[in-house]
Amino acid sequence: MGMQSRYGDDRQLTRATRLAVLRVGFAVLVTVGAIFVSYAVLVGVKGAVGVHAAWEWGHWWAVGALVLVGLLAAVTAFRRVRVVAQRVRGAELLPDDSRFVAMLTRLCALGDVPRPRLALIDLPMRNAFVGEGPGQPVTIYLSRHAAYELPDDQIEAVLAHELFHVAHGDTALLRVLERIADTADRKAPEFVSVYVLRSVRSLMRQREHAADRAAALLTGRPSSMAAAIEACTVPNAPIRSEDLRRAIAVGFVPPRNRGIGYPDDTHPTIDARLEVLARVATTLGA
Amino acid sequence: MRQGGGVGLLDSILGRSKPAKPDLDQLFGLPSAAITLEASLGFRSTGTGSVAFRAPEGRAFADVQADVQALLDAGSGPKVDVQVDSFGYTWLVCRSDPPDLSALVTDLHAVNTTLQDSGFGTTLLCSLATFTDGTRTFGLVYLFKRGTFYPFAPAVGTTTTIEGAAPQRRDNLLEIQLRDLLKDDLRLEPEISRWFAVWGAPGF
Repeated sequence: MGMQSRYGDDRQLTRATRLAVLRVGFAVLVTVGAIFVSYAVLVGVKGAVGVHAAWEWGHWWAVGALVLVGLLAAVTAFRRVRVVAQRVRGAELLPDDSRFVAMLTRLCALGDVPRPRLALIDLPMRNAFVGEGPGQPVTIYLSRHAAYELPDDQIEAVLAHELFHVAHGDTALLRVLERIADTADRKAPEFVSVYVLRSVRSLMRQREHAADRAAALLTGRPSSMAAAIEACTVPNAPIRSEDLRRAIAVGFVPPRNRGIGYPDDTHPTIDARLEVLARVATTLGA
Repeated sequence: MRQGGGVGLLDSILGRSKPAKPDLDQLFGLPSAAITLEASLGFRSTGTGSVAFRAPEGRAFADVQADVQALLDAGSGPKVDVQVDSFGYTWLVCRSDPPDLSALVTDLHAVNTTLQDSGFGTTLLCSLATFTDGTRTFGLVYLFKRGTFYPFAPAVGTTTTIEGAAPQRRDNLLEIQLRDLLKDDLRLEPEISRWFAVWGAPGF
């Protein structure tokens, strides 16, 4: 069946990603452990009183209260997703014959992935992110600043990067990871939740590297990808909406660049991303 | 029948994507489709076919052409012309004069196999063979990664807008007609969202 590809794995990247996955797994165990311990203490102190009170009210009251709490938890879990979908409603969906959609469709043909929808959105920076949620088809949102100010090859790089977030299932993964971090934040002691957040974010940074690498290999233009990262990065974009800031967590660049890397950053530093792209360039030239 | 493609669960967790592998065998369905086309609608092959791929950066365009021609010569393949379109894809053009679709398909297959065996399989975008009835011209586009064909027909004549520009339009009616006509001869791409336009491709 011929050769599979002349471009193998980036070993350094694969190893870092495996490590990050293990770290998240460990963080989940620690969270569960911490919650278990705190509940055990809670039950030890107040449990007897609580159970006694529940039976005093009649146990259907207790069951009713539990169901209510369960429903509330479910609603909170889905609320975030729905809000993001609403906020993005001002987006302008691009028609099939637009140049950017043609660009995206070709990338999809090259990578053999289904084509997401493409929409323009107002953001106070050059950026793009993926929107996905119940009742909402997968859509890549490209900010108008990026669409009007970047040259074609850089827009292609941005689209390819987001396309791989879709293909790798990063939006779904992000929701799970954020849920883990949120749970730890609410239920576990602070030193645990800080550790969990850092683990989760280290995995998210690896996903950015993976998307950069896959996209640069697909387009064969790592230099356009590097140029686009540099052209899009700003010190601190004035995005006030918490929902949009969360959506941009799987965006092309983070809304805020502090210059040097922090353990709770959602994206790697520019330098780290350029290093991965430089390795791609070497592979392509070989 | 699809090879490669998609992303597995483990690869997804680790953020790896396997490049999709091309499927070349379906190309040989073209000659029988051509017979149907001529019998029903009077379309004949223009004798021009092409292969589009994404040449990686960092190498001069002339190098790519020389490399590809050298690879083809080594396997006693056909002569090709090279063009680059506005999206940055490289088109290798084969011509057969007088138009002989069977010979053209053999040439296209040789070009594809050469690119695939030299490790460029993941960069292949599509193959294209064009047909004409004298006034209208359309192309059958072959998507390697899917193993499917779709028709691409530019609308005849130009319309002018208020800005004076002539927008490019597709003859959607002809495309659908061709899809219905050829469904027994070729495996056609069911998802119309994947039928990307190939404006300015060789042979139009």
